[in-house]
Amino acid sequence: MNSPVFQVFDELLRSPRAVAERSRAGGDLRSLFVAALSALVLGAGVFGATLATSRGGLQLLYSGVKLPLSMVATLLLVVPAFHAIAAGLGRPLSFSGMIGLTLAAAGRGAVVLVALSPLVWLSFDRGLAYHPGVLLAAACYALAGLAALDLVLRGVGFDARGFVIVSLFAGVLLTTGGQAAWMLRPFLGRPSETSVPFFRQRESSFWDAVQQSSLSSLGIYRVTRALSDAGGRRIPSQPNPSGPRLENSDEPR
Amino acid sequence: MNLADLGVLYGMAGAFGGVLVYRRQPRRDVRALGAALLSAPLWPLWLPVLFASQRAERDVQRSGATETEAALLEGHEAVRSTPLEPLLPREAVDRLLRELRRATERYAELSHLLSKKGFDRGAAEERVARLEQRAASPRTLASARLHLENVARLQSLAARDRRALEELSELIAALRTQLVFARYSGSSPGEASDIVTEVWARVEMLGTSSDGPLFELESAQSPTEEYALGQARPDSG
Repeated sequence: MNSPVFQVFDELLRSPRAVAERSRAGGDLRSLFVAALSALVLGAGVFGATLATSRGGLQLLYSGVKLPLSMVATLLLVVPAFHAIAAGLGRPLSFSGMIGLTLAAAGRGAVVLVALSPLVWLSFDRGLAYHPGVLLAAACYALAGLAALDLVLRGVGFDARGFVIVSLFAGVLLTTGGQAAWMLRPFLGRPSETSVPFFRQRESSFWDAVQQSSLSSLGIYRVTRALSDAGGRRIPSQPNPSGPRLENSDEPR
Repeated sequence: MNLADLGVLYGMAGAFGGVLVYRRQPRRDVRALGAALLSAPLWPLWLPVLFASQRAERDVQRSGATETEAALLEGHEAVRSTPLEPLLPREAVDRLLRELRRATERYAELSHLLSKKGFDRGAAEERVARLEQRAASPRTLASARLHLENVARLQSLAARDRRALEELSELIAALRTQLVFARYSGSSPGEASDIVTEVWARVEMLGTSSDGPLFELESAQSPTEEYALGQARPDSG
């Protein structure tokens, strides 16, 4: 990497305003692109591998690769929508400027994820279980997302219209990013699984998974074979071995 | 169409984009390879940034000339309808603008030409060295040396044009401020007159071919080899 890339990397860490202005101005954004992409790949890779410390082994590599992949895939899908939203609401930026801004925001978010990695690692090391671990990871994503959206907001303008644009974009980002990450899971690896798959078999959707993890973290488990009509119920601490198979029933509580 | 089909199409578009980017790069080096490799997986994000950046570079080159033109026009506006107007009349400004545009276009053409693969000096030098190593025939060697010589001449010409345009640009900026100063201070236009003379001298020099040697080739070559192709040297008249 050459010095302009390092300079932008420094701005990404210390001066989000400068990065936002650089994106808004347009022009030559190649160094911004390379610096933000490097931050994204390295940051998300480190955080992905940290998440996989709960499982270890091959999962470290898989998660370290898949988390950056899911973030890049999300960007590929949301940038045109962001461009359309901003243009439709009277804040048109050049398409390349929009790409620079979004990528820089994602890079900044990835840097925040790196900063949170020691906390996540410590939590897993102290015995944090699977479902609370998923929620902790979700909380980290939320923090990183806020840091990223802050940069986006500086780029589109820090006013009411800017807030509306960023709120709509956040809606698109949340659903698209959530679904992209959900399709590429597992990132932590279920304790009940004996092998480490690169992709898990497709089941329901991202929102179902969020709901299920929230209930599971409260000790409420759904019946796997009848998800459609299961409303979620509290199970006894010693499940009936002859009863229906409960998802994650063999996990440590 | 399922996700795999979509992936194949995406990959094909990426490969096509990568090849396109590599072929369009002025120099086929590591940077060009990096740009092409980024294009393959990330073309929806990378290509708009790459093309916009290249466009911005061209705009910067053009805006340099535009700034000089603006300075010239401002200088004329400063003396219009004043006793200083004969220093920089409208006709002179128009002629200067024409010459300036012609020189800028010529420099842009030369730069574009030199960015092409066939005009790469490093490659031409390597070729001469390779031919010398394998003891190629004098006729082949003479052709390769002539090609190298021509490339070097073109490079020197482009470098000289760039310097001349930069100097002229600074001179015109100084002329503008000098004329504005002379108008508002009522001082003697002597210095402005000197600058105008200098500007004309520079403009006359722009675009003229060099008489002296623009470069020196490291390897000596005999006149016999040089004219082995049976064609005259470019500077021989």
